[in-house]
Amino acid sequence: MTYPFSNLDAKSALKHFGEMNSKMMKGAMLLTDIEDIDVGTAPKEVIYTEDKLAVYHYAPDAKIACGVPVLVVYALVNRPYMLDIQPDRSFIRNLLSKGLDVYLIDWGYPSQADRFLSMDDYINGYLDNCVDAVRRDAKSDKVSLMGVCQGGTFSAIYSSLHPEKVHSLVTLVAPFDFSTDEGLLFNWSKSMDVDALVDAYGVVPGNILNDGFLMLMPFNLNIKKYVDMLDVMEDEEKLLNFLRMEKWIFDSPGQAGECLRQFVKDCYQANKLVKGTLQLGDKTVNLGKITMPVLNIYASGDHLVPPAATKPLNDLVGSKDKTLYEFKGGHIGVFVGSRSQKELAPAISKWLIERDAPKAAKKPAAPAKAPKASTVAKAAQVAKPVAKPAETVKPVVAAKPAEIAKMTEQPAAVEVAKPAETVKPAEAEKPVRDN
Amino acid sequence: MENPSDYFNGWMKTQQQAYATLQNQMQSLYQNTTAQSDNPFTSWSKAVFEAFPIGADANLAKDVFSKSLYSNEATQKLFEMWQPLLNAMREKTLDPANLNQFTDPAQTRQLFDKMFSFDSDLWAQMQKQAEQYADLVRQSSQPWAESMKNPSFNFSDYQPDAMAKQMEAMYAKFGDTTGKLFGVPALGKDREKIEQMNHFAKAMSAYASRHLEYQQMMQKTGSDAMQSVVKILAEKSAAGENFENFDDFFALWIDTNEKTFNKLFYTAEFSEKRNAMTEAGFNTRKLYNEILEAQLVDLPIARRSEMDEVYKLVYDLRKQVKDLNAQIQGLKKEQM
Repeated sequence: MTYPFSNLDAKSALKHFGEMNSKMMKGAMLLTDIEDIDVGTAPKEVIYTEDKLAVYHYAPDAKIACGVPVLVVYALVNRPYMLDIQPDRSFIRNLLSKGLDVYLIDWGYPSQADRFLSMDDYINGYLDNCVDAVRRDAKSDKVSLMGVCQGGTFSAIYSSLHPEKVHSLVTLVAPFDFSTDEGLLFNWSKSMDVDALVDAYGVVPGNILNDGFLMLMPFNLNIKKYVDMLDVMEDEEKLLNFLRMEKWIFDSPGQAGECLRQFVKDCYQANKLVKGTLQLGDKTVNLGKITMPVLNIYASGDHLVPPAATKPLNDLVGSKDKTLYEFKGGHIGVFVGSRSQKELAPAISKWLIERDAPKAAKKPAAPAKAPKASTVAKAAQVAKPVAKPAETVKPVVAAKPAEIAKMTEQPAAVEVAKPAETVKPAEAEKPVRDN
Repeated sequence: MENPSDYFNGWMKTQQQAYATLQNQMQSLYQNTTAQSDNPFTSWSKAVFEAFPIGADANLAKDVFSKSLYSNEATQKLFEMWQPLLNAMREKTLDPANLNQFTDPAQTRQLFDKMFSFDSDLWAQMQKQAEQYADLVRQSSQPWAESMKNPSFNFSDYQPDAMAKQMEAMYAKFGDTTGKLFGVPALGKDREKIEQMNHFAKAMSAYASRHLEYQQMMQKTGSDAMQSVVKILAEKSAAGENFENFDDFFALWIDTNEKTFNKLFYTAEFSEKRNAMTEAGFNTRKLYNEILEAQLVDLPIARRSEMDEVYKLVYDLRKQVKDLNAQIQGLKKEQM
């Protein structure tokens, strides 16, 4: 935002002053016209519901190139439509355009009645039922899990407990080693009295967690973002994009108290997942029992889940085919940044299709419902994928943590990590809380 | 404008006028959105807020609009602080050894209170509460104490009647004031309610204290950050560089604050004070819930603890039903 007082020239100062007021007025007019902010518009249908959760099946957008369905497991914090925030920045549409058969769990909004749900209920209960539902719907023995953030932690835990149902595991910016002091959330959580929090609320309101997220970059997220907003306030499309992100940021479901209590105590504070002592119900979680192919993606500029928390997974799993992928950007940039759309989603699709090659193209496309013409047009801009024959696939085997697998056909994309502060989160989406 | 000095002075005057006008407009817009006023800008802003439609996301749009106004107000406070700095840079009087004059503690405090949504009046409110409490105690005990101090008889004379009357009067005063505290039932729900209220008042007081400590820490850090900004400007000035653009100053200010606060956020002091504040807050909420429970116990209303029992029961039953369903499905598969 250029303030009226920014220039030495008095005339242009007054001109800017007038423009600023004009922007405010036009912006206010546009804002008053907005009733609904559309998000998550990729065509989909519900194939399973249980209590408050729903599993969606997205309408295929291309010939299915991957016989094993992909189940996206989002975090309990925030809503999964981040992955389909707007048609031209949709991670989901991107995967669909590459021929993946995509399902997604929407955990819903827990109410006080859900306060006793534990990690065991979420992972061995809900997630297991969702996996079974997808297996039934897709007529597939196994699914590939794609876990996002906390959903990645849950997916890894699930894969270690139910390896027979998981074909491949993809984790995106997910924490595993909580001993790191690099991220503020990791620091704060270590000394947090989660008992007092859960006992006071039962289901912990989303805005309490949001306050913590906003404190990570308070000046950018509380002041600069809204000052900058004046620059886009008179442009309807840009304003809508801003509002979509704003909607996502503050659309924070409450957290089931018992689950949050265990996640903070056992993971953040006691680091039991890495130590192999995490207990879910009567089962002990041993990440070494993960033997399926693993693709572990971290973001070099992630200030919410630092790479140090993500990378150790590859040392802990028993898989021979394991890949560590560095994305140059922040936590949110992984899903909505233009680099993500160009590089990451295609790389993930390629990785999955390569591992699925023997079964590729077996399952016929069965659209849930016809996509809207406008969304098809956008999606069609993305190149259609071609599955490589099985014999051409060279899995990246047992990559060391420090090694970065170069899976895209653009080597420059994974060469050097920029320092966190130089990474523009989500690129064009500057007014974004990066979590 | 015949020389650079005239030009600059003219420019500054215009800037200040423009700024003052804008500030008035923005303040009116922000502060009077719900108040009755004949100010055209206020009327406009009221109309804007009233024009927001009733839709799923209308509140979000409204909220974003408010935040934009709020951020601009905070930025304008920063602008107020920047103007003297700009003057000093222009006049080559920006002395790093004398930076305090550019960082008015009151203004800095206001800025950071706005930034972190602190209640600037919290301390004043606490002082007022303490005074009111002291006044209450004084008013409560004064009649009794005065009645003790001014007996209507002389202890050296034996006057049983007068003495009894005096004692009665004294106890009456006592009963009307401080004695009320002793008049509560020794046991039972009423006593428990009073104790709960006392605990709650103490918890509120503890929360307010922890909050103030936290607030002061944040304000001090903000002040340190401002000093760092001014120091950078002074160094630039000494090196003959100008920093005349407010946008650049704003970017420097944001960046310096972010870094300074980030450093604080990693300290043990921050964790300790933030945790102390939040825990005091959670404790207050817990006690508040207990008070509500006690107040509602005789009414035909389901209380939180009772609902929690129901939720626990429903949770257990759900699990049982799901387990049984799974068993049934397993048996059906076996039969097939």
